[in-house]
Amino acid sequence: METIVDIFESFFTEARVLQLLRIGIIIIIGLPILVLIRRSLSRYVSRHYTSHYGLLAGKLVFYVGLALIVVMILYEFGFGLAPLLGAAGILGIAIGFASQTSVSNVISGIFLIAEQSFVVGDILNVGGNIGVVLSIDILSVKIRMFDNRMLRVPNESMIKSEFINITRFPIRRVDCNISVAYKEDLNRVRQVLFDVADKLPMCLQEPPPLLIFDKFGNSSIDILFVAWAAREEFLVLRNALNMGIKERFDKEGIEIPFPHISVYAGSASKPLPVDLLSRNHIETRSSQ
Amino acid sequence: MNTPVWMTVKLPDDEMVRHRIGPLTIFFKKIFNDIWITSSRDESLTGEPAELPAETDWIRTALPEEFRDFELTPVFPDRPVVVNSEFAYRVIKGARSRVYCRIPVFVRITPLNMPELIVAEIPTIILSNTWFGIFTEGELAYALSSTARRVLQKELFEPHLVVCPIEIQNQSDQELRFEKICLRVDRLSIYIKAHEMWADQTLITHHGKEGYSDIEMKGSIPVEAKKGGKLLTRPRTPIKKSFTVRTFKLLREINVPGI
Repeated sequence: METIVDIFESFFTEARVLQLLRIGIIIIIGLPILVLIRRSLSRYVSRHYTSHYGLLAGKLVFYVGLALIVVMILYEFGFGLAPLLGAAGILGIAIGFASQTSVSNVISGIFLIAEQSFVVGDILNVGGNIGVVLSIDILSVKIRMFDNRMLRVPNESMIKSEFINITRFPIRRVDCNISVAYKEDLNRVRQVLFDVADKLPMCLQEPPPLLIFDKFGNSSIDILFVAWAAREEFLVLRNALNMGIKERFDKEGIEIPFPHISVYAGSASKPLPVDLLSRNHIETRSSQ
Repeated sequence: MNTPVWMTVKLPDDEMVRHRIGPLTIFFKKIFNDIWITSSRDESLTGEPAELPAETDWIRTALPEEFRDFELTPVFPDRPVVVNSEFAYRVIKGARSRVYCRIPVFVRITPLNMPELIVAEIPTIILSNTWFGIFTEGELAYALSSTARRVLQKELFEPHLVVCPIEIQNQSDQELRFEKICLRVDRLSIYIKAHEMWADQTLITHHGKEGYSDIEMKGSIPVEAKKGGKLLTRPRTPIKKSFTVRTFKLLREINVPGI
């Protein structure tokens, strides 16, 4: 029992207690201040610039501050700054060799941020996966997909591969691929399509809708009808336009044909000969 | 045109009240401090209010206290309005031209003497969206189906339309040829003169920089309505004496569909 008390007394000298007190103060005061600064700065930058920059500024300040607190604590334990930096250099080289991919991701992240091809909140299509950018972190970009799964794309992959920023520009084009029967009057079809678009308030009048003749298909005449919407109303217009076209085509008697095949025997001009047999005739033939 | 459309409506308890403003009929119901509002539009511009549609979406708003009287005031649309000129229009350098365009208003519903408590804003006509700018930048605006006119006739005044006098002057060294004007209506006031609604005059000075122009809002009643006219609605955005903004869609701008 006495030995434990001796050990306790020899460890908790006045100097040691003061040292622990200083470390405690650094942690107790330093960390909340750091969190407060991070939050305020993030809010300020988000309000004055974008939420993306707010997030980055907050993270930068937090990690730099955290590193400072760690250095201060180590200093209190008697580690000098010079040996620490030296050790950090050697450690850096060792870590650099060991973690080339991570370093590449960090550098790619810096390039991604500098290039500004997307920001937090944009909708991206990365290799067929579509979702909203949640954050651009040190190693990866986090995307919330529309089925509420999270997609993590390493920054290096983002730099190397193609992606589509769906919400970069303020207006978007809705494409409707439409097929009509060969018998239809294309001028009337055109008139109906423009009328449908004109009646939808979310369809932009400028740039105007456009009808493009696509091709003479096997079973139909294929056309592409395009209209524009503000990016927030893209899906609303796509649904309303396609449903409106179907409804009007039904009302106007414009046929959207199913694929069909005409079969000819021998020459294209002569139809396939078909014999109509009476029931008696069939029975006679089957009995033979 | 003789019965005032911009007035105060009294809402008895549990009773539906209808009110027509041009093609718009607004239906009101009051249940305690809740107000129920819905609307419908038809071809007629005057006469009895329309019947309540069989299927309608009521918007129910709870107010901080029970109000019986509600004020209906006209306000300009909440976005800029793009107006077509009657024909492709040319303003020779140094020339000045005055045109008029008619803009359908929104109906703002507020409790009497409480203009800051906006219950609803309902457009008298549903305007189509349009884009004023290029594919990569610009602004969302409303497209006006009527055109800007050089001459204003009496029969063009409607209870739901505000007449905006626009003075265009070309101070560039080239002629100005345009087909569309983008009007920043949020900075305009509305005046009334014997059932005619007027906006303050806008002076657009073109200097020839890619459709950018100096816009000066006079902030006072136009000469046409000076005699007997009075202020009805203040602008949505405080008046800036003048500002520079893209205003004309020039004829040389070719619209590339971008296939």
